[in-house]
Formats: sequence, C-alpha cells, structure tokens
Amino acid sequence: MKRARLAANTVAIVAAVVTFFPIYWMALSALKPAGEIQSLQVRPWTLAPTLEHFERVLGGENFARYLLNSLMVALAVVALSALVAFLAAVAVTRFTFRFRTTVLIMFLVAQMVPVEALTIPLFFLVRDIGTAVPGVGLNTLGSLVLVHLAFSLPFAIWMMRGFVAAVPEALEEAAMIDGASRPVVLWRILFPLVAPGLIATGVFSFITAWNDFIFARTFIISAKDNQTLPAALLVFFKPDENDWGGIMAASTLMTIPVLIFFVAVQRRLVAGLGGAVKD
Amino acid sequence: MRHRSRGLRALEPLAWVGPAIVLIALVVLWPVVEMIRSSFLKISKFGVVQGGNGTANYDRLFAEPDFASIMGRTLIWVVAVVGLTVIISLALAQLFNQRFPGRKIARWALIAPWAASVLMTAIIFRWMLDPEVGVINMIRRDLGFLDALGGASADPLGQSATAMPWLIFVAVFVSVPFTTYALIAGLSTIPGDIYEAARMDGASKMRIYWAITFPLLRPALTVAALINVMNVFNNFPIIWAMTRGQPGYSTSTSTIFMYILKNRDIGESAAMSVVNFGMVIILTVVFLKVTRWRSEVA
Repeated sequence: MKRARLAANTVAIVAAVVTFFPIYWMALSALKPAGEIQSLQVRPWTLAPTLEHFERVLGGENFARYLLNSLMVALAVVALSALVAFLAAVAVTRFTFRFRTTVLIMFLVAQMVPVEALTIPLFFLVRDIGTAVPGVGLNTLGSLVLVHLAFSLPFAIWMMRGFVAAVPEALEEAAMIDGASRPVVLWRILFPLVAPGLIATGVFSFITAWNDFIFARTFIISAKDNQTLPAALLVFFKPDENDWGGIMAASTLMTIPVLIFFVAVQRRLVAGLGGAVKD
Repeated sequence: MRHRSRGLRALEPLAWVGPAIVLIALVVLWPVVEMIRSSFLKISKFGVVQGGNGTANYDRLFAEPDFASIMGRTLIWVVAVVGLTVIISLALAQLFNQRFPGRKIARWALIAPWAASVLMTAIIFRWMLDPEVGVINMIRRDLGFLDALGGASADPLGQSATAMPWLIFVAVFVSVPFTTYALIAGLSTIPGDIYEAARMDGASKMRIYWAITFPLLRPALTVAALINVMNVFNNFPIIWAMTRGQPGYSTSTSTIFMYILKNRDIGESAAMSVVNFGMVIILTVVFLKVTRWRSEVA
C-alpha cells in the first residue's frame, strides 16, 4: 500500500513537472536579460531577473486598451453563449419537434468545421453584415463577438444538453401545475440547477475567445483601437529576428489571468464536465 | 381556437432553439457553403473569380504528387495523437482520482497547458527545440545523447524522422488536460457502492477496472475522444508554428496543405478544404459506428 502511494506520488510529480515546464520556461525567458536569452549557455534559471521585457510590453502603445478589448469580447461571448446554448439545450431535450434530429446533426457538423479554411468567406460575410448592422462589421469588436459566439455554440449546446437532461422533468411540471409559465420555470428552476454546466461551457468559450489570433487578424484590419491582445504579441515577431524576450513577456501576461481563473474554477469544472457526460 | 394553440405549441421549441440555429447557419454553415462553391470556381491569384472551373480544381488536387502521402499522414496524425492522448489520460484520470499528497498540485499543473493558447505552446516548444539556444538540446547534451558539435541530429524539427514525433508529442501535450479532466469527471459520476460490492466479492483490481470502471466510463471517454478527433484533425497552429509542414511536405497534414495551397491557388485550396471536411465527417461517422454510441451523441 505504501509502495503504491509512493509510485502514485512519483508519477504525479513527473506529470506535473512535464506539463508545467513550458509555462515555467515562458515565464523564465520573460525574466531573463536579453543577453542571456540568446546565450548558447542555456540555463534553467536566471541570476539577474529583469523586468525590461515586461516594461517593453506594457509600455507599448495601447496595451491596456488591447487587454480591455480582449476582456470585453471574451466576457460578452461567455454571457451570450451561455444564454443561447441554454435555451437551445432546453429545446432539444424537453421538446420533440419535427426537425429535431436535423438540428442535432447540424450542431454536430458545425463542430467539425475547420476554422482556417473559412477565413476568406467569413471576411466577406462580416463585411456584408457590417453594411446592414454597423456594430458587427469589419474592424469592430462586435464582429469578434458574433463569430466567436457562433463557433462556441455547437460545443456549448452539446454540453448543456447533458445538464438539462439530468434535471428531472417532474420538477418543472410541478411548477407549471402551480401556475408558473414556462419562461418563469426556465429562469427560476432550471437555470440555477444547470449553473455548474454553464460554468464549464463558459470556461471553454472564454479560452477560445481569449486565445484567438485568427479572427482578430482577419476582421480587425485597420482600427487600432479595436485590436485585441494578440496585436500586442505579434509586434515582437519580426521577419529578421524574433524578439523572444518580448514574445515571452507578452505571452506570460496573456496566460496568467486565464491560469488564475482556471485554478479558481477547477473544482467546479470537474463537476461541470461530469454533468455533461451523464446519461 | 384549439387548433391555433396546437400550432403555436409546435412553434414554441423553435423559439428556444431559433437564435442558435440562425447564428450557426449564418456564421458557420454559410461560409462552408461558400467554400464548397468556390472549389468549383476558377479564381485568380488575387482572388478575382474568373468563372466556373468544373472539377478542374479537384483534378489538379488529386494529381498533386504529394496528395496521397499527405492524406495518409493526416490519418496517422489523428490516430496517433488521439490514441496516445486517450491512453495517457485514462491513466492520469485513474491516478488523480485517488487521494495522495501530491494530487492537488499535480492537478493544477495539468491545467496549465489547457489555459495557455495552443499557438503559444507550439511557439514555446519550437523555441525549446532550437538547435542552438534551445533547452531541450541542452538537456540532451548534458545527458550525453548529443555530442557538443551537434550536426544534423541537433535540429529535431529540421528532419521529418524526428519532427513528426515531436509534433505528435506537442499535440498530445495540449490534448491531455481536457481529456483527463473529462475522464476525472466521468469517474466522479460512478457511485462508490458498486466498488464496495465488487470488493466484497473479492474481485481483483484489474478485474474491477475492466468490469466496472471502464464500461461506466465509456460515455465520457467516447465524447472526449470524439472531440479530440475533430480538434486534432483540424489542428493548424501546432504544425504551422513548429515546422510549416516542412521539410518538403513531410510534416504536412491536409489542413496545412490547404493553407499552403491558399497562396498558390485559391480554388485548389478550397477543393482541399472540401475534401478535408468530408474526411472529418467520414471519420466521425466511422468513429460513432465503431463505438456504437450514436444515440449518446446525436
């Protein structure tokens, strides 16, 4: 028993070291002075930590603006995606309607769409929508919200289905007999019960929106004020020689908030994922 | 009156699911239709449509000398990454489901690759694999696997024999956290008293795992594996950031090839996208058939 425990601890520590190493290397490189980064003597520590790279990132024009934009886009996507996915999940689990199977297959197929193949048609789509609804056209944060929202939905609905199905229908029926209308039942009874699922799906849509490069580079072409965090990172990639210190410092700043957020909701995440796969 | 209310009742679910359908149809599926349409068009280098092209784009794509090897590699890539991810995640989930002192920290560490963007992780790995200033070569040198002069073996991403295993490693690395967490979640839904009963009957640990844990874990495993199949198949940032599909096309999957073609011939690139999309659908259907979990998913 003792040996088994020792083995478990050893494997866990090795797994932890391996998984955490790239993050450690990123943060370490961000703290190394420029000379040490390019040095052929690679050392897994630094004796002269410096904040010069962070200063360069934070001192770059508009960093605070980019951060705020990224945050606004990600939070808007999380809120809207949770709401729309919740309603859709209720529809496909609580009702039997004519095109139900078609709709479910459509969600599944949408999950398989390769994003990189669609940038050109998406560009034209956003441009055309922009002429009708200026708020979601090219160069707007709205376009990022719209596209991320749509791409996050298939997975979110898929996950939420399991949660809604796990709530006994009798609960809602009882409330309806007591005279509550369906929207009231949905909002007051079902919504709080599926909250763990909403947290889990929210984490997913947050991560994809926050870490996105491809949509930000496709739709935000000229509006400097509407750029998101990747813009602050990409300036350090140069054709001749990449500025690794800057890249690593910007990446660290981009990753840390998500990491903290993740660790904070870790326990709920397990509960959340559990509900999604229950029968 | 009664008839009308029945008609309204039939429309009610559409009101709930409507926003989702409209958004997905407009933003996700409409571009797919456009992609399919443009695969039959003749498009100039600068994106000007020059009329229909029949199946010429497809003919050219299938005639590419590297087409067959790229499709084969894509299949190996998906099977290897998803297979390894599932095996490692099953073991880790089992481990992290037990109580031991290091568990909490290990679970936190496991989250890290999930929280970091896949593109950033790939870039960090490429840098760690740098032939001159990369930390991984430093470790290899210190352990004596690499002589100080280096030579060709000092650039693991520069040659296909070593580049592909590294790409697969990084893809597994970024896929394991989600899969493990999904499986931990699956394990937590298995009621403890089943194990109690099995232990009372004197069943061995291996037997308990294969007779109880694994079958009850199957729904979670199927969903997690299926999501991995789709993600890995369509994965672009890892290979692009680390090797750009080079040397030659020796580390290109169909998604990478599609992107390379985009700069050469937009029509042929669209044809590749369509073939790619068709393959994901076929792969998913096969997967669902093999695992017999169609009802679980659809």
